Amino acid sequence: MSIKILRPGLQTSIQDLGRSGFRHLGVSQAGAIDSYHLKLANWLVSKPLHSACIESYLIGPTIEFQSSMTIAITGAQFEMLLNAMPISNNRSYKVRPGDRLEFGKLISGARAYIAFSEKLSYQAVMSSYSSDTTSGIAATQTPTLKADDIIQTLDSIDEIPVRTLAKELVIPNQKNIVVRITKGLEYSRLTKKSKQILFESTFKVDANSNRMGLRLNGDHLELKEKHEMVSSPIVLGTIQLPKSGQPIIALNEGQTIGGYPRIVQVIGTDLHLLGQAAPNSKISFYPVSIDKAIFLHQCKTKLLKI
Amino acid sequence: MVLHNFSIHINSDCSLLVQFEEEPNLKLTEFIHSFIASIPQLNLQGYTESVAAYQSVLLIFDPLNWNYQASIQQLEQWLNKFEPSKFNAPKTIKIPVCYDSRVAKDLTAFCEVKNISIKELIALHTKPSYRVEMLGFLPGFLYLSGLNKKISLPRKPVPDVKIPAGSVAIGGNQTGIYPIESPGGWHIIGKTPISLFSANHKQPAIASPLDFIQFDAISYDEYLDYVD
Repeated sequence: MSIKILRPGLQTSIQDLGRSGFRHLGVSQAGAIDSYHLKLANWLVSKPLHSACIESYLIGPTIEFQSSMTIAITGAQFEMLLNAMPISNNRSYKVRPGDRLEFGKLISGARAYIAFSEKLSYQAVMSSYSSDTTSGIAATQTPTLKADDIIQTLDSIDEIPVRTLAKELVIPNQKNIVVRITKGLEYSRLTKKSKQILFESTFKVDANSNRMGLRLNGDHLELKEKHEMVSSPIVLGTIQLPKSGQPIIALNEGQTIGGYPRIVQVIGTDLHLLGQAAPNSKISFYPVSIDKAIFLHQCKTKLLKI
Repeated sequence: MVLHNFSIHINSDCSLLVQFEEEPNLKLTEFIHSFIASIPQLNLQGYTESVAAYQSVLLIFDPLNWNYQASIQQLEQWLNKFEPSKFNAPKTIKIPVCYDSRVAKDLTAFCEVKNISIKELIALHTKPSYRVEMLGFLPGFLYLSGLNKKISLPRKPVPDVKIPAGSVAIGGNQTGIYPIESPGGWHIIGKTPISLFSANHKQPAIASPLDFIQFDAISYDEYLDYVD
């Protein structure tokens, strides 16, 4: 019937696949940055793949379950204890009232997803349970969970089987992340040298990154000539180039309209990889065509029809 | 019939951008919003939502159910013969604003830089009916046109970390209201006690594109009463 947060960890929040249909009001989608692992976590507890989970960033929470349910953790790898016994990612566990899940040291990745078999008992806001930590739009009282918060759930009487993830669905977390990109609308404005840098060098993830955007540090990128942008739409995965010459990748809480040149665009299939980019991890880009990007999207979706 | 030259670009593996060539202007804004309202009639396969900007319209699709060549062709044909419908008389929404340095931290400095009195600033800022061009940037943020050039001022070189919700501000040639607490580089000249965005309301934002906004000056005491 409920899950109690004993220690909140960092940016711990309820997320599902986010909201769509509200960008014209300035509302971005929010939702799990690593949607792939959210879906896998939900599968492990026999829930619809789009269901809400707990997302945590870099520092995991300590949680007490106040009713019997099945849980699973995916995404970032942490040292984890369930009632002081080590447990691992990518399989489900049954918990009883009073059981305690404790996150320790982060081993790899950045964001963990904790799925639970019980349904949330909240009203969706703008058709989603996601928490927008930037704008404050959230189904829970505060967008990020605090110590002593209680997540209300509904009893489920169904017997939930314990599941383990098939090996071919496990994507190991990388320190060097390669994401595929397509050309952005202002790509042609980059200098030849900048285009080279973009495809041949690696960028480091800045510690000031958050759910709005991933800030990258690398060799200076520049435009052939100064270009004053009229405020224009941006989407999830748009890589913009501010005057600093250091690119920013728009994530799930990114602005709907922005004012910087849109140099490249991360393909839909690879967006979830950005969710596991911890500060100081490295990102490089690999160009593909739009047709390839759409084809890959279809392949990945088929793979997930578990 | 007014022709607006446009081009259609593939923006990502799930979106198209219709880009208009001319400088932002009122006729174009009307055309853009009339076009967006007409998109459902087109029955574009996989279409989910759109975003308007000054010079462009973004259309988002479901990549699993999308044929972009077909969408581009349909949109080209449609836009080549599209005539914007007459809009119903736009609403005018009055927003009370307290121009007082107790709630607007940049007011005094702004007036000093522009070499005008607070009274003159209030007169210049409350006179126009501002047109809502579009919403975006933050939930419920209104992009307004119509600011008197006499009170334009480039954005701050270093943005403020926290601007309180309801702050009325000027940045470059634009004026606007921060609907939620946010970082920002605009100069805060006033504050409204009313709420501009409620996620749970049927109409979450206070205004729609093409509406007019008028600022009504209220005193600090009136502001405090409003807050209560």
